[in-house]
Amino acid sequence: MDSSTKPIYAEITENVKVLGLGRAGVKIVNSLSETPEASWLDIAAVDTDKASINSSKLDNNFLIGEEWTHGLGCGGNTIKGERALAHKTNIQIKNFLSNASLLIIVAGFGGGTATGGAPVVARLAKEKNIPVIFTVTLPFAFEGHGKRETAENQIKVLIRTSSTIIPIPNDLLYSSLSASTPFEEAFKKANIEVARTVLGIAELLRCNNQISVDLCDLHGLLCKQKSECGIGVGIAETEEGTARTRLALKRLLNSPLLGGRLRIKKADALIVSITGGDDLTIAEMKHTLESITEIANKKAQIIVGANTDPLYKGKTQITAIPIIFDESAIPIEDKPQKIQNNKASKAALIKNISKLKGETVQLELPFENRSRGIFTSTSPTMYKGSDLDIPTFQRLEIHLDKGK
Amino acid sequence: MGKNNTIITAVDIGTSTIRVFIGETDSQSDTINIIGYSEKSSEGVIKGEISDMIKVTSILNEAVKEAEKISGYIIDPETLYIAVTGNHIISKKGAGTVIIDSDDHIVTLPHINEALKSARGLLTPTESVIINTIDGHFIIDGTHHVNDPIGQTASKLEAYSHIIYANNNRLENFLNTLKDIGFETPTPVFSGLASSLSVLTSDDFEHGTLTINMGAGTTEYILFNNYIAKESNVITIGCDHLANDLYLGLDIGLSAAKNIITNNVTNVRKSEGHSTIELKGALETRQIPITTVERIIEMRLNEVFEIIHANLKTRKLHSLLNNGIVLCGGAANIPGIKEIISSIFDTPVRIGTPIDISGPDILLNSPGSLTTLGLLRYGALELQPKKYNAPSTLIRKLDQKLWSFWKRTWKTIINDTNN
Repeated sequence: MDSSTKPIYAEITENVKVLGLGRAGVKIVNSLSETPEASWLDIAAVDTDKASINSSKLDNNFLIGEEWTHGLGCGGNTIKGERALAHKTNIQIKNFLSNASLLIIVAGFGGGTATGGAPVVARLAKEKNIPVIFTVTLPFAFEGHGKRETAENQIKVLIRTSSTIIPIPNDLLYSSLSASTPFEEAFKKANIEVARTVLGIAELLRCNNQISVDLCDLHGLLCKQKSECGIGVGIAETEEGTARTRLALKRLLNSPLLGGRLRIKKADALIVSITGGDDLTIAEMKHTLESITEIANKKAQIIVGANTDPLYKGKTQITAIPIIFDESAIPIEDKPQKIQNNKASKAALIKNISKLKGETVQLELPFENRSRGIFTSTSPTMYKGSDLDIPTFQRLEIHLDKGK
Repeated sequence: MGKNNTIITAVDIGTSTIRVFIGETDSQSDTINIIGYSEKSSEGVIKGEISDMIKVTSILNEAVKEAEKISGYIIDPETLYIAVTGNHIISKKGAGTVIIDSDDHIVTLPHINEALKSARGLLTPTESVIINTIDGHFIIDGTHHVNDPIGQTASKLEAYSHIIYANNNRLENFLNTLKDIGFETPTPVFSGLASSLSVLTSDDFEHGTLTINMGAGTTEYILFNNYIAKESNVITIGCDHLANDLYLGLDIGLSAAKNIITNNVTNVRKSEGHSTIELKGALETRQIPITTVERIIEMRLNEVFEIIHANLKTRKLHSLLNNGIVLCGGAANIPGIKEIISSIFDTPVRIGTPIDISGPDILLNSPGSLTTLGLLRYGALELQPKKYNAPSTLIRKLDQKLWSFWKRTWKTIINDTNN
């Protein structure tokens, strides 16, 4: 027998690393690095495109796959992206990851570098027992079906590496910004929001949290079923008025990638965290968390976290991640079979058997006498909602000539 | 007994029969000789799972003693194999990938072990343990399928394994029956896998064969194609269900119903020119039409095999049965069962016969003992490393070829447990 070894993760305290993959990822991590509260994070950018890397202002910029792509990017080819990251020369990336306690990968899916390379990075991290969280944006609907499909397929691959994935559809951007918002500003704002969320997630999982959330909670929620997330961040400072948490909350609800108040209401699960300075009061915390959970659906699973950090002095940041499960998709874990009314399954059974034998099966008036005989005290053998321990002829309601 | 011969013991706690076989492998050939055996009628087992430990343990104890007495050997607890079945058994396809990042990009054994390890490591469902893994094929660089990737140049290696899991607690029940009578380390083997090992030829493993083992409590099946297990499963329906159907449908006693199934009464009566089965009661004699009996049995069998067919079809595996279907287990004796399966799967069906096993005819001719015989084969394969040292030993016979894949599996498992 094989006892598979389970990785044991280190405590998430310091050395939280953020890796921006691909062009979108690089932009977002650059926004992140401009945020003063993110100074405790180690941030790096990885891309196959020289222009993108050159625009990055980070300390750790890795240009990869240069010998094939000549610094021109992957052109949407996921295989190129995969090879570029898997190449042995990427020792810098390995070194960067080596002492991380948590890795957050930020990427825009649908292209080449990030889409192809994400599973490779996930594997590298897994080898070193580093937990990974992916924050990925999904392409706009107008970018075509192909891109969307690539993105979704790759997410399926990622789930197999048991990573935690927060997929954010770019289309949410329209839902809450006014139509007259300048194009550039909208994108900039979206980038900042994603960056803020990354920060929010990092804060959420930090070990010295007052009300802490662990990776298991997050993983459990996000890996249950195909789901779609939104993210919202609201930040407010004391100088802006007395009710800073209320202001932050208002901003959170107007956040471009959240999808509006309705989305929180519709969410099947909700992750909320609040971070403030030493001056964060218990009333503020209680008020914020209560207000958000009040909006949410009663049945939603809610995870809350609260944290203080000296870097946030005079500020409050609220992060919310509403998760909506796709009910039509097959759950990733098998659901236990439900016992349903066997009318439908019976009809199917008759159809099957009569098709098989090329003849019609004689039906009689239903007879209620159904019994399991010697299997009465055993657990039923269920198949598609009917109990197979009951004789087939009884389920088909066929009358038999018992003889004299 | 020669110096290099090994004694292997196989235990099958079936719903109707508990079997203990002791086999001896011959270092010169692949044949296994059965030197001791015992078959006892089983109690306390329902649908392949143990419901009464005390009854089972006491019957098993008797059976073990009897088999030891006949063989003249004491059973070696290190080479003891036990068949496991029940509706808690599930199987999954595991996938693992490694990036070959050495300078020369040549696939080596550590790479393969790593890929297989990650193929197995990811999916284990809650409260389950892996009982058997059958290593499947490898894909290098995303496109190229190979059976043995050692020495190939590649930048990415993907491994696929067929993994059979059992529920931890229910598996313990099986193992505990043996522990209670003093055997601490039995090796569990999925019944369906064991059956296929006793009856499939090298050709069958390669070209695609479905082995169906229908016993008293459960029906197991396993599909091999290109030396890879593509699918395996357990349906907790067996011959007991047929007896139960007759018992409920005809208002007859349970023993009479079982008698009709096991002793082939319908065919006997038909050949004597009767159209009814006669049941003598205390006061009156009943005449039951044979057609009714046949109809009840046919409906049940149709349903079971239809389920198996549907399961394969949803995975698009039903077209892989180039060598047809091999039927094992007590149900193989039911008249007309071959035709029923054949019409559902649209492929030839044969009743399994043991390959390269010698012993009393009463065992070799009984389809019900094929699982136990297969356990001996599994044991012989597992113990073979002493026999074939080089991994590339080729490959004319089934055992050796299969072995070249499976050896790695066991090697990695051994490595894992040591770590």
